[in-house]
Amino acid sequence: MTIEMNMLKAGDIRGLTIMEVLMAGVIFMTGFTTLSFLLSETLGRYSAGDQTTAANLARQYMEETLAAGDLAEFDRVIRYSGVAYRVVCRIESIGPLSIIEISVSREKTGEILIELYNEKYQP
Amino acid sequence: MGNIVIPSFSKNSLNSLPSSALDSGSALITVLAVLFILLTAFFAVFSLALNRASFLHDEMNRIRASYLAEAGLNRFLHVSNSRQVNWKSAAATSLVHHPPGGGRYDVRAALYGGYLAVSSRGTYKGRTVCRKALVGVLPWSDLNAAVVNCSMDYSLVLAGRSRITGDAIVGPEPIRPGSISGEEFSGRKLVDGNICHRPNAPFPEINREIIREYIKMTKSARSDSAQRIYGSAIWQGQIDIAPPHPDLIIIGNDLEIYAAELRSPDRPITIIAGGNIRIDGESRIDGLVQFVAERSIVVANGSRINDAVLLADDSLIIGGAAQFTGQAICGGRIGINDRAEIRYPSLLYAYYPGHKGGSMISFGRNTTSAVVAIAEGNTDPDSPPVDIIQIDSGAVVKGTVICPEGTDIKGQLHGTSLTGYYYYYDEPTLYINWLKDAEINRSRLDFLTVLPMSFAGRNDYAILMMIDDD
Repeated sequence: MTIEMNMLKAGDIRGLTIMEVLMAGVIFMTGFTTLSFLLSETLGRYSAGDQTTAANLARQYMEETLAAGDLAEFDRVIRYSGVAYRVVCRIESIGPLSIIEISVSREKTGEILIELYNEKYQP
Repeated sequence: MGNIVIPSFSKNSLNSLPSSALDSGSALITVLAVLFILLTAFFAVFSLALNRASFLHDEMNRIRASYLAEAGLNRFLHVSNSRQVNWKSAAATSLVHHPPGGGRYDVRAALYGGYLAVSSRGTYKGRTVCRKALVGVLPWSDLNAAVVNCSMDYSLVLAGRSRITGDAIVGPEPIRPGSISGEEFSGRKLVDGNICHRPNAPFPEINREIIREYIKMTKSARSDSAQRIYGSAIWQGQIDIAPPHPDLIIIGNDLEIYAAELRSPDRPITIIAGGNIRIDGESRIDGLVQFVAERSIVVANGSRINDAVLLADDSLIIGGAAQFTGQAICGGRIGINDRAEIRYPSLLYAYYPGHKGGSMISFGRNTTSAVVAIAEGNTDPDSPPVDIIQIDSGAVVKGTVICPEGTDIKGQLHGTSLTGYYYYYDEPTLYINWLKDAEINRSRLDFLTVLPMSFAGRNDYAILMMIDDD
């Protein structure tokens, strides 16, 4: 195969450039669409804001429950930055040992964001 | 097969191309450049999002693992207390639990000084957090009193400026005022609280086995991987004993630690010296470090020790404005002198070595201590009762002070004194079961005392302190 650039005519060069641009555009759009999809999937699944809020809420309620003299179950909806979260605390007692489970979920979808497990010994 | 002719882009050849051809080339390059920049930016944002998500996920797993580890410690207390096991069974406890929702915790216990070191490892999706706690026994109801005086034969006599605030549990003889060197009891009430007479106020049996077991275990820890230093050693500056360095160092003779820094927050280190150990020159020691000396240990000159165990056969002195938090165990005299500060939770334990006169703990003037102090007492009926605890004038001790033999209090005790008898020596007279110028105030004890597991029949375990460790 012989390529001799100086043999190409001006019209050939223009046509080739348009093809290249179109192909580049197609490749770019395909890549862009794929990456956009992946990014939105990632952010949707691991929404940093939601996860952080859920973790903080779960820790806060776990510490409050541990510090409380009387353990009590609860189910409440907390609004934070315009988003509603459901915080559920379940307690099971085995004599002086109480099993505490706290879960935080999105109120809208019911998706559980975090679950914490602890035990408290109260003689 | 054709030949490939590489075009040569000389100035003349470029000039020979039409202008439209040059423009088309620049469009291609521009598109590629824009594409490159956009894709790079996109990948950067994408990887940032992934990293952030990964970090967040790891952090959430760590939180879950941390609470699982804490659950393990609580489960240990529950199992040990519900089974009412003795310290040996508690130390042999091994728990593994898989709670619903995933993850697991496993718990192990071992003797660490007079307490149990309980280690609970919580694991959630590959993330492990270890939480350690020192576990001892809860004080029994007698220790809510200011004074528990187990002398059956002698009245408790108060002289001078002595003050007892809180309840007093004494034998059948009445508490009465007295006078030493013309100084009569100057208070309005003998005891500012209830007085409870008991026909027999037996001293709680001290389980001597546990400390001896710990000493035996610590001294016999001569593994092949130990680092051995023959003769004496001086350590200065930053001391690195992190892995791969061994966790057991054996020094043939004396060890001096001067202006040094030693930290071991996550693994126990044992340092054994065949002679003396001196910690001096504002040294800083943090973590689970056990110092074992065949003779004496001295901590001086502004040194600070946290969470360590000091174990000496002959004497153990903490002075020179040193600060100590941990356990000091000695077969001879434990002296707290010269502006030393002992912080809670700390244990001072003088055990009776059997072949010597006895054990003794003394708190010198200008010292403050928040402790549980125990002098075991002499079991040999033929040898004189020389096992004593002394609180000098100007010393402030907060906590629980236990000595089945004699206790000499001239300073302030904010807490409980449990003793066979008090004594006061004013040459040439030894006053048996007398207190002069002593202040014992139970109401000023502002923390829950957790005792070492050295009392037979006491199986109500509680956490003395928690140690976090990732």
